[in-house]
Amino acid sequence: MRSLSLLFGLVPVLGLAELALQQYFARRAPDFDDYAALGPRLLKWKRPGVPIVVAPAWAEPLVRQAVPAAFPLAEQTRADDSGFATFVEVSLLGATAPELAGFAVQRSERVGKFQISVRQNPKPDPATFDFVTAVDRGEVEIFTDLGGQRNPCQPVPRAHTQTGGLHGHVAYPRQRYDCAAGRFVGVTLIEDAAYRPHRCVMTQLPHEGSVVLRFNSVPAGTRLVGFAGFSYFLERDNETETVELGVSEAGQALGRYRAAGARGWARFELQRGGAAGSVEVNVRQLERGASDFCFALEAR
Amino acid sequence: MRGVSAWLGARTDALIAGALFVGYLALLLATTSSLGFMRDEGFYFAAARAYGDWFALLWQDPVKALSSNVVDRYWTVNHEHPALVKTLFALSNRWFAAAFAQPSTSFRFPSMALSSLAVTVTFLWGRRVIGRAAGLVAALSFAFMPHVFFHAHLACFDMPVCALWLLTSYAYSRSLATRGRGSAVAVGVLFGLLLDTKHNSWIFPFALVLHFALTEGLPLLRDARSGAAWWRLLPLSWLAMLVLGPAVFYALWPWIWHDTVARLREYVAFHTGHEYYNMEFLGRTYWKPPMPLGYAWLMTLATVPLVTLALAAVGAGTAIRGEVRRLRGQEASRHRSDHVLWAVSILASYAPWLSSNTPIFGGTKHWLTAYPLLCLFAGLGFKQVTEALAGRLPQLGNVLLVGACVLVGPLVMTLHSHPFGLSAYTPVVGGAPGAATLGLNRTFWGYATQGLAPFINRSAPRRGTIYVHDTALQSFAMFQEDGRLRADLRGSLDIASSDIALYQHEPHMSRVEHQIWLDYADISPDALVAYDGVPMVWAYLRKRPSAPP
Repeated sequence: MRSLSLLFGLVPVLGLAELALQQYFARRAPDFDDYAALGPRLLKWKRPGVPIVVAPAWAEPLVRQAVPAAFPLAEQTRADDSGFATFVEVSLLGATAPELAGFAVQRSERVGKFQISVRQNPKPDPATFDFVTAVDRGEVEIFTDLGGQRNPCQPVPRAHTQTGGLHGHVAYPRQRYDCAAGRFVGVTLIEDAAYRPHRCVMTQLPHEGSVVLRFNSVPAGTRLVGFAGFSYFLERDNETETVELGVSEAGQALGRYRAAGARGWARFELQRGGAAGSVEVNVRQLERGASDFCFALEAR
Repeated sequence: MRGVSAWLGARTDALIAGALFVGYLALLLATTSSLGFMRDEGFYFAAARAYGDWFALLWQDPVKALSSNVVDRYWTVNHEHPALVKTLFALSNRWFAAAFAQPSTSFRFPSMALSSLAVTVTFLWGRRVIGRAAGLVAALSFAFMPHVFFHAHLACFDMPVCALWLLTSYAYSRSLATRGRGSAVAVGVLFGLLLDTKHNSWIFPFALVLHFALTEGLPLLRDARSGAAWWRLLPLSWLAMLVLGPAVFYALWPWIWHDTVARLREYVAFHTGHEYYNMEFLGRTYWKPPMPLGYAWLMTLATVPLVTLALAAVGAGTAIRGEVRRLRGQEASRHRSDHVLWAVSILASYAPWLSSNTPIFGGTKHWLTAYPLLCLFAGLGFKQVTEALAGRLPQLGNVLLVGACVLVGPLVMTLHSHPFGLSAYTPVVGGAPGAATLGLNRTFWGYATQGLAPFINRSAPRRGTIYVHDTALQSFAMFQEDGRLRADLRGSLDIASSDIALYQHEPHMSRVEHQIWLDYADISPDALVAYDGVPMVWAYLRKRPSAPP
């Protein structure tokens, strides 16, 4: 009974302890001034091709707001992390980025409530050619192909951007290639199963035939690493393979990948032959009414 | 002087009850202008305006107003929910709009009043069962749960249904004690109001049946076996609930006056087959079954002050000990029936989340009905704690000291949570930053737009267009009607035509931000609102090329 009485005596103490902890947690995270002070230091660490990773991830918008120049869109929406040799990690509250686990810390500096670290990818697999950037730069020829008859899709540098909003389609970019029947090809962003963004080439596919993208300046290499999928939010319930992407080089088929919405942003690899030549990406519907399909491809 | 003292002494409980009601209502009214409008509030504002127009017509031309096509025209708005609370919003807006500085307050006022009533009833029930000080601790523990305080402001149904569930339960408890016809009628009428508030009410009878089984089941079985008139043991209030409940429900919901069966079927089908919206829990977004079975329990642990839960555990333990003593043949607590009623009400409130098919998209609001009962157990726990510590301090000092220790935390946490109540988490999960790291939902319903109002008013071009994201357009309109946002602005659901784009973070909505990035060619927010350092809502301002000189 005496021990029960003592136990009950802890309840008021618990009340005060909880209050003290609440005050601690409410003040623990950095404030706007801390982020502003971080900016100049972070820019000294930032190098082109070295993405910033914030841990915990929820603080990233605050770092983005404080240091916009540290977040180029192409890095922020990279296909995956494997192509990058080095990352700058901005850590707060003692967190570390799970995606950088196993990446050794090369240098580190404490800046106020933040820890800035350069972390080295032990097995970087850098891209020698980025097909998405090639489309963005206009270094591509795009056609619709119906029974072997090809019709070029015309580049349109300043179309009206269209956005689907809360439940609608992904952003349709201003710069695009208009194909027949109001369909087009352009670079946009889709989200993966963790709702992270990826920059990719969106193809709106005809019911029949296919869309072909020809890249003439792909350097020689041993393989292509691809990523493909749909907006995960829109297509995550769809287990059916609805789109097929085939790749050929110098007229030789390298392989194909079939995409299903529920798979999210999925990675695939294709081995290349010895000789370099123009690479063609052929995308077609397997089912009528497939959603906006998006892919990224890198020569590595 | 002695007369005044005696008068006060005789009315202490009534004065405390009144002070709780007025005090809580005043606090809610004082803080409502800084709380943004939820998505659903926008829909209920629209419904209340339609119902209000019908009442105006009813006053002017009753025959016309009561014709079936006119009733349907006005009451079809938001007919997936019963009418009582929206009717109160409508009448409050009609009668009291001029009394408040902002039109929205007149819509929210009935919810605030009902929430304050719930605090008061918690005290009154606690006073009767566990004593004045413990009842007061129960009431204040309930009032100062951050999520309760948040929902208590809203022109929604969640706190009203919580209040009516509690009120009906209390009336039921009184009717069992008094066995009077009047109290049974009161239960029947209150049950009708509960039915007309929200569909949580469908579970209520099951709680009463379980309560009856646990408290009167054995005597009833004995009577039945012996051929005695067992039915005499059935509460009279059940008959009242059976007759008056549906009658009140029907009378106060004009939408079901015609095509009653079909429309009731539609009502039931809507809620039993409700769409699954997205909700983040422990880093994963759930949008279809199976839903996580631990959701309701962990969210309760993460959002209700731990000291309140600890007191409730002590109180529940006390009640269970009493039950064990009774089973051993010792005398039962004279409040056993109340303890059982509190327990089955809590269980009934959480019961839907024992199924992995029950949606979780509304967060903690779904089981708010459990909280006043939980707090009554907390009051019982408080009583137990102060009794255990008796003798170490003077009686009054003991009560005051322990009371202060167990209430100051919830009070401070609740006031600190405003106006981000949905984002408030307790130290158990590390507060808001800890919850964000764990992957618990940060915000939903689009209400955090309020925090960006100064930026929008300052930065939007004249007659500019604001992409509202998850804020309903009706809620955006209320921001303007209240004067919180500039009247010349236009709310829009189209990012591409907007001058400012808002983004309220939920993982599955990140695609909206990605659309903004592409359309605005900018991934750096121009304004951001954080709670305890955690980003909640942010905005992008479209940078237009400056005109050539």
